[in-house]
Amino acid sequence: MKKNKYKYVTAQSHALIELSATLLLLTLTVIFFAAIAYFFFSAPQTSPGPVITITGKLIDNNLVLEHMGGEAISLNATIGISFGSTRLQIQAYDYIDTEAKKDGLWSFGEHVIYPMYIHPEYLEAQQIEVMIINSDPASSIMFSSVLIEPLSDLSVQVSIDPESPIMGTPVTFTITVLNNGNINVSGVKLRFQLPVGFTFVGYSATSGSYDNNTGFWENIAMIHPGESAVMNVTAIVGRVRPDEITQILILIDGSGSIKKKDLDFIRNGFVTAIANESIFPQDGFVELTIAEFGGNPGFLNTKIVLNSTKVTNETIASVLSTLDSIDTMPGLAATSCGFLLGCDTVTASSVFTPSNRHVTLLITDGKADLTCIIDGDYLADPGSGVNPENATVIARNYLIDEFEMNPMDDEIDVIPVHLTNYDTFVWFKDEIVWPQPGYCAPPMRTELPLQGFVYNATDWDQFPIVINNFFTTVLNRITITADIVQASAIDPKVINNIDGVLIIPQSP
Amino acid sequence: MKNSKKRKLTSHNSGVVGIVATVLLIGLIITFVGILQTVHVPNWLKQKEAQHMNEVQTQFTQLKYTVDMLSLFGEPVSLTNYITLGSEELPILNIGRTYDTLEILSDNFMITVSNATDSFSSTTSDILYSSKNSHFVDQVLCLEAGTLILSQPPSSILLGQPLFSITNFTNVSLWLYNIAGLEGKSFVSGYGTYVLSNEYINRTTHSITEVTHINITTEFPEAWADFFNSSAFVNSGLSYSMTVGNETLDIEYNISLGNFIIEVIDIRSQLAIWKY
Repeated sequence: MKKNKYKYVTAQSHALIELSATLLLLTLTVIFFAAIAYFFFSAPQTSPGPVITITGKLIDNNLVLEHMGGEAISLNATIGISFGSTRLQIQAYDYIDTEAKKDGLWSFGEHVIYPMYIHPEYLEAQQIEVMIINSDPASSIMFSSVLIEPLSDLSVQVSIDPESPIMGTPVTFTITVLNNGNINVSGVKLRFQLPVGFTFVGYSATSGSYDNNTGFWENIAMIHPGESAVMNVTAIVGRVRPDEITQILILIDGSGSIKKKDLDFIRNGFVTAIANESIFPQDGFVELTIAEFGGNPGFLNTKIVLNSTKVTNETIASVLSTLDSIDTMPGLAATSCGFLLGCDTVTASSVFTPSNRHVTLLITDGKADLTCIIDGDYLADPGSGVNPENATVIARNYLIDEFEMNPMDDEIDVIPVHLTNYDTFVWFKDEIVWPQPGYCAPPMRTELPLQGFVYNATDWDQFPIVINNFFTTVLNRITITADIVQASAIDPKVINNIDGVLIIPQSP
Repeated sequence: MKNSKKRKLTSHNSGVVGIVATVLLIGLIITFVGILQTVHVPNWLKQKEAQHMNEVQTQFTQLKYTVDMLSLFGEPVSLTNYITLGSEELPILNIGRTYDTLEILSDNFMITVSNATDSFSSTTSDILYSSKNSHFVDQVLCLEAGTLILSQPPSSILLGQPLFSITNFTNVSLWLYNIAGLEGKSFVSGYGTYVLSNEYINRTTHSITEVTHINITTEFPEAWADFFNSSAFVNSGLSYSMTVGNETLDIEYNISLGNFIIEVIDIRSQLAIWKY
């Protein structure tokens, strides 16, 4: 009996020991796995950070952070910005637009824009470091560097007083450099060269110094946003010798609507104006080409009346003789043919280069009647499917491209004579003259860039006066420009970094 | 009798302990797997799908590069790109496979350029990829008229702009790709890497002067607004007003553009019906 009792107690002890051991083992196992979960999976677990792509860039001295894809995050996200010794902390909510704030989220396509320019010291740093920290769950979303390249926006304005100066009298140029951007700009250097023939009298400026010999205005003091630097230069107006060749192309309408008596006015007008050396230079700086258009389909539609000729004392007699023998080309107005032949003749000239000044004058009494396509034969193509007006515009564009015309120097003008249709006048102004927008002259504009003009002559008997005024304006016009050559910050908007005025000095 | 019964019972105590231990162990394992499935697997799947989106974005960038090169060569050659649809499932667990779509949508984009008296319109097709993610946000990638666009509806952004140039401050040249699909080979949906074959057909040039108005009809007007607001246009000194609608973009220039040249490059694309 005692033995059995002993056996029973022993068996129970074994069971208890086993149970305890198992429970102990399980406890150790649980602790072990919990430790693994804590160290490797960062328990206790919160929801994972968002998957998001944000790009940072500097635009016009603003730090732009753009959501480029992924999940939206709360606008409570903190953005840390550091540059040089400056450390900033901002909230995304404060620098995003009102529309984006509505849902409280920084979503795809939305921008946070921070104005770096309010910290002038940022111009001294090399780069900006940006860190974005999401608020819930707290995690770093983005860390990047943005290289600093400050951009400025300077503009130049030039004015003249009086606008129509008289030869031998003083004229004052006012040059203004304006800071349109949002950062300070220093080290500005501007070029303003008086034409040879003008006599420098003196200058005054808000800052800096001007050297008439080099034409540079430099050491200009720092210009703050919205402020400007101004210089006045006074000079005596003199006769100016041109420094570039002007290639003039005249396209004359010789079609059936031009009468013989009208032809007399045309010849007389040309001869009188070109023979006058005070109006038309005879020193070799002007090359003249005259093309005439007319005729009917299947026949000659355009011809060269005067091949490209430099007008000099030696050639003037021959030029005048040719002009005095201009004849008509009865038929229809093959305007596009004239443009194409005239253009190719000028570009074939030995003096042609795109850097020359190019002036094209169309003299006609109506819209185009025939189509010429760019096929090299300068003959009318009535079955081409292109209407004559469109063909003229295409030919005009061809000429602009071939001459590589630039709006500061080159132009296409029209003298319509005895025009009865107002639509035709508008067509010349809006589609033919160049640069656009075209305008109606007189009066002639004196600002740059140039604009093509339509100078209407009521009838052919006015033609001599009109052509005289045309040559006076175009060939005696002096262009004086001022442009910025240097500044402490890059200015990508170069279109307003140059300005100029046109002067047509009057005889005393 | 009673004593023998009691002995029988006590002799079975160790067998019960083993079962209890096993049950506890299995419970522990199930808990562990459960935590993994509910907390970590969705995050892994989200990361995988996001990675797949980046991969497709890279492939579309290469696709844009291909059509840009085809237009520059100007020769009737065919170049091939690969687009991967769907993301792979997680190993062992075998869950998380997704299925995407790739299609060539006809006449999905239209641009009209006009001046006071004349206008020119061009309609092109899009190559469109749409994701069907289960954990990450859905995205759409589109090659439209030479522009690479990323969209998370309803917003869109510009990833790659079309070939263009501005000369003399007012003359604009813009290259648009008219992508034509082949019937029966312009839609695919599923999982795998698919071939997109692109062939240059021809080029036509259209010119319109003194442009004052540009109108675009597209599913992604914000992306096109980004393009026309780019620094190249802004720094050319052009003055304009822009209206962004639901599916339209309207631009009115105060001073007309001198010359607007549109080069329309015809590209034929086809989706291969086999997969790699």
